[in-house]
Amino acid sequence: MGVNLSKGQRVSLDKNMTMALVGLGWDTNKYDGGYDFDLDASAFMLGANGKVRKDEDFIFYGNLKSSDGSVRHTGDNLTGAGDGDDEVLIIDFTKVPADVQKIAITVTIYDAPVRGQNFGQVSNAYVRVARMANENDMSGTEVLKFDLAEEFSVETALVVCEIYRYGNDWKFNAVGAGYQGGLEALCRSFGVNV
Amino acid sequence: MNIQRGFRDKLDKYINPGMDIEVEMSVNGGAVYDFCCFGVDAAGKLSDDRYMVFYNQTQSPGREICYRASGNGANFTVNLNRLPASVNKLVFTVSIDGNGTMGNIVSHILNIKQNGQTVATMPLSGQDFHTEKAIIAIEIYRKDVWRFAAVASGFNGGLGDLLRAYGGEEITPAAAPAQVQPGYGQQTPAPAQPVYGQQTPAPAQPVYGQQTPAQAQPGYGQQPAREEPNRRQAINMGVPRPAAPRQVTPQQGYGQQTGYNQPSGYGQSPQPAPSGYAQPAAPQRVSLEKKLEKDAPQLVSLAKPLKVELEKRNLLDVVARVALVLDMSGSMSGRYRDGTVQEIVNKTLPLAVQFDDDGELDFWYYGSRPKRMPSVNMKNYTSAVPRDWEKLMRSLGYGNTEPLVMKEVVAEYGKSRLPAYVLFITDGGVGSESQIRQILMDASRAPIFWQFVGVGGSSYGILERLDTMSGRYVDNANFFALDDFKKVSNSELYSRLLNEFPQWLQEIRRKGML
Repeated sequence: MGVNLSKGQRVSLDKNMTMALVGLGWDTNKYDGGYDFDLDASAFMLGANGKVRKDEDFIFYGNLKSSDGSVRHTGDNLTGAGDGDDEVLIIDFTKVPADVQKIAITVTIYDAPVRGQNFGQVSNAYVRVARMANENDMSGTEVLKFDLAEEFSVETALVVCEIYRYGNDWKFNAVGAGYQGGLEALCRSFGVNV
Repeated sequence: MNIQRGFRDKLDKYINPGMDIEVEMSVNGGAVYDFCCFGVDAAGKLSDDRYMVFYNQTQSPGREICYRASGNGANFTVNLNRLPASVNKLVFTVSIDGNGTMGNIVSHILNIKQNGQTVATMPLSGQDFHTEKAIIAIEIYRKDVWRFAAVASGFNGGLGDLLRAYGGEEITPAAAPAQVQPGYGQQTPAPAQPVYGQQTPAPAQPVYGQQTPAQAQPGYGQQPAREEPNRRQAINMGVPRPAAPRQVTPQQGYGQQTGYNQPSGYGQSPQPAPSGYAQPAAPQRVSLEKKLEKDAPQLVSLAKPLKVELEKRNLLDVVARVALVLDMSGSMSGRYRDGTVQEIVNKTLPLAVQFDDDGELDFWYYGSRPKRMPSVNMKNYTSAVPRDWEKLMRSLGYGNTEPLVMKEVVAEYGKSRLPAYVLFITDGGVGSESQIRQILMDASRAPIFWQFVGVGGSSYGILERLDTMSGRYVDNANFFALDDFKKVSNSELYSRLLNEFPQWLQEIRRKGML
């Protein structure tokens, strides 16, 4: 078990961690008459100006791997069914280009306005970071966890955390900022052309 | 402040959680609505059913939750500080009793108030729902501090199903995770709203705000709410708790739901399921209310209190023979004269209508001698006590010889394929101790449950010592005494009449006696 973080907390990541798994989990909609909760994890690789260098720096269900191979998404989960992580992003720190200062991890609810959904309705959502021993180590050793359950209400898009360069090291910031407007709004703010 | 579905926050931002809070719920619609507050534990279960507060149990043990009917709704007053630590969450629900769906309501308004001031209002309408029979409206819960959440979600089932959902323990292996039906929940987007509790400035414009509201798609919502039998079949009511909580026994396995489009919302199998596993859809019973409404409208007010007690004990699916044995000794004359006996018949009949496959109550009088009478049903019950009862009393000999009538009862049900519930009314003066004991011991291997009730008498003899009577294969009898039958409320009466029956049923099933 790693450290449980709360909103706004920052921690240093282990210097020796070369590969990290960022896992997102949530529960299926347990109520009747509602849509599935389709949460989407995405990563934005950001330069010093807080924007993507190019559109391909936006890693999501429609672009599963960055061109340099440093960040990849293991695939879309449409319901949250099953135990453990429902969507996973993998960061290989050894491959992150030098001009990427920060990787922002976001979670959005797919089709939220049409489905009338927001994060207040989602149960047991979390984000965790685990150290991967190698690229096949999909459970990893958990180093930290950020419980999203009580943090959010009527938001439909979250910047959950940022992993950023601090000197020669990487740090983790449990940003936990919520917005309305979904993934498209986040893309615009991070400079992705949509 | 208006709150929308999904809103959640700490309570102390809005009110003082240490003082009385009022939750005011109302529905504008065409059906009968029941409002209920479930005080559940950390696992989300109603581990103490005294914390189910509703029209039939209007306050929790320490008056921490109080219910008051009000117009077309209900007001709950809650004091969170006084709640025992075991109560972790209060869930406020509204459910339909009988016909109708939440998609058909005009509105459901929930106000959270303190000192008469409304601090939050959750307005919902039929457009927020489809064919659901209930709404989980809000939850007030502990997580470090007291918080509240506007759940505003639909639930397919009535009050009894909610009770099962909160009281239930999952039955494995039949348990299947609840599956979500795609396509439901069509909803117009809420207007862009400020994000509460937000510190960081938003980096983005709410671009989705411009999107046109989704059209309700034709075809959705028409589907009967309960086509899939395993939606919540795994939820079983935990009251009374079986000895081994997770053990699957036939009685516990009844959860299978078959079609909630039935007016009263019950899906029942016609007879005890052979195992605890999922059963295919079974024909449904007509609801107790409907039957009484049709054939014995004077008794219809008994349906609701009985139903609640049946639901609490998971007895809705039970099929059993029901018998009434009435003391006609001379000392009972007053009770025949003042109508008490007829009242006993009236209140027992719904049990037979509910449990018995032909809806008839087998019926005996006994004095010094027993006399089996024609079965009582909804057509003839008003004449169960004959006009010339005094003549009958005389012919039965004024005494009370319990063993003789008990032997007749055993002869009738001893080899029955179905369990028998025998309600045995006496006003006391019970002798024949060793004979009665012998009969009860011998009959303890038969599927007969004896519920003795003392009415306005004394000297109940061995009946008062049933709990310590040994030598029986199963504990097959219970006794309680009432000073005045007419003064007991219906819910209390049914609660006491059904108190030990479920344990006995479990026991005989466990021992394979059926």
